[in-house]
Amino acid sequence: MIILDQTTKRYQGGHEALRSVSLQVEKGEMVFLTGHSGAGKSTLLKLITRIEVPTSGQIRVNGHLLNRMPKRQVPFYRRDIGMVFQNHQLLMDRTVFDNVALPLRVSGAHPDDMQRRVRAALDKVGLLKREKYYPQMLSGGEQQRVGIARAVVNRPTILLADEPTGNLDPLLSREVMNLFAEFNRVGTTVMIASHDLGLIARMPYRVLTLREGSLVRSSAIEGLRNG
Amino acid sequence: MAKRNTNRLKKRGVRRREFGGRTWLRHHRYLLRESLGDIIRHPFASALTWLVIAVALALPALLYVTQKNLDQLAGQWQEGAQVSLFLEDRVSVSDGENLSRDLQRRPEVRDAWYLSREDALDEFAAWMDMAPVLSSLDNNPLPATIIVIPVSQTRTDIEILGELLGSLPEVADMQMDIEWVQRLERISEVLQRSLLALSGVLGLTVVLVIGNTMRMATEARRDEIQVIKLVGATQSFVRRPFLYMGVWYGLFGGLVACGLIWASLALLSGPVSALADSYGTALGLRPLTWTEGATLVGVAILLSVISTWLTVSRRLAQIEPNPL
Repeated sequence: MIILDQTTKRYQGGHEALRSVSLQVEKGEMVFLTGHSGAGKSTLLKLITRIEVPTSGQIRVNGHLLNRMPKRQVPFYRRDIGMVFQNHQLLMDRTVFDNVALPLRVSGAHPDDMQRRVRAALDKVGLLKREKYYPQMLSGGEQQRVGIARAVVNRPTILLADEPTGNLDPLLSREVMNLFAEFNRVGTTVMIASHDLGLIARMPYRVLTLREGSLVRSSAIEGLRNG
Repeated sequence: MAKRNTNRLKKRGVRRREFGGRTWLRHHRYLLRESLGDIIRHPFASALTWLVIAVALALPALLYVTQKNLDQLAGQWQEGAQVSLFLEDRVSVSDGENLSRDLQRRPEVRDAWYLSREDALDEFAAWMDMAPVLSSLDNNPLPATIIVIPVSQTRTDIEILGELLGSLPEVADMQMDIEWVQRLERISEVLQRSLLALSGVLGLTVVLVIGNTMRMATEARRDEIQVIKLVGATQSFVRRPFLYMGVWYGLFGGLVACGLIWASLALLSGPVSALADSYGTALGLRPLTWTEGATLVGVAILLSVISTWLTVSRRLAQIEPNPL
């Protein structure tokens, strides 16, 4: 569950990236976050992952008040959040398996457990046979799916994605979005920042629109898919 | 309100699971493999760093070995540090021999023996090959002498003993042969001081070289650091592989330093023993003992780990994830 209460983020130099944003994402919900570049999508995701701290207002995730979280607790907090990036942030000198295993290694998982869970995650994104490959040997869509496998391998309660379809063609984009929907069906809270409105409009989830740092619309567009 | 929030945070807390014993061991075994693999993958870069560390360590270590050998030399020449007591002519041979026996019993005297005037003349003649000159003299100019070898070889002890014995009524004159000992002590002192200064400077060099290497290593792995921080790695988790790297740099740097010292001494040992032979002493160069070698390697590892810790901790605080 993600709650922002009049959250403002002002960067050094005075730029106000978020202006008194209040929103609530329920546990198990899936939402899209849209807006032009510079509207504050990235800042919002940075606040939720505790890369940035709000200038004023509160932000609460899974019951943790992030404003006051001590620095040494941040790593443990992040283990419960999966992140997918536009440029997927894979380590090019590690195999697909090692990339996906990274969050488990960080939290000290048992090797047997690690194997089982990495294989399960790769299976879900359809890349089980690629575990020994290096990222360069994969297509853009496949690399993105490796990034998704890494994000979910820890079975996080929250899955965040920043423009996950930014570099993909429409067909692959659709596949990737469906993947997120699947994780949401098994109970994961999902928040996806995207400006691919055509794709978003086809999916039955709430859309949060940011404009110049303010939340302008929070609407459910259910039914559009059939209409 | 604020208070209630804090309490709730405390109650729920963040799941903070540090590695347990087994997991910890497994993690370290993994790091051991990974860090060694890293060295094997980049043999030249690693070897170059070891060499720089080795040279920086070998210089003060060589100075130490030199000083140690000089101390040993001073020890061997202790026989030469002696006090000669020239007796009054009126002292008879038997009185002189009695006196030397009395002196032998003093605790600070290792040995003392009596040389009669004839003995002294014979020895002088034989030593200097001056028999013809001496035989042309009407009478023996040399006094009877008691040679005293002190137990303690430090300058002050010899001086005190010399003054004490010089005040004996039978003694006309007294001479201490301690210049060599003095000089060696001085040289050793100079070496010790330079050793201290050089060790400080070169120890700092090791710290800086390792620091720079680690700074570059963190830069090269910037992406990786950002990613593993994002997936919830603690500061110590990120730092650990670098510390392993630091241990290897110290270990191999120290070992190469030992090798350099060994090679230098092997190179020197021939000429040194030839030189010693020409002075009529059998003198072998003393190499580093196992303990000294181990100490050198230990110091190398310690310096390396300290430097790594400081550098990497500072760097990791700077490299925050910024993927969006």
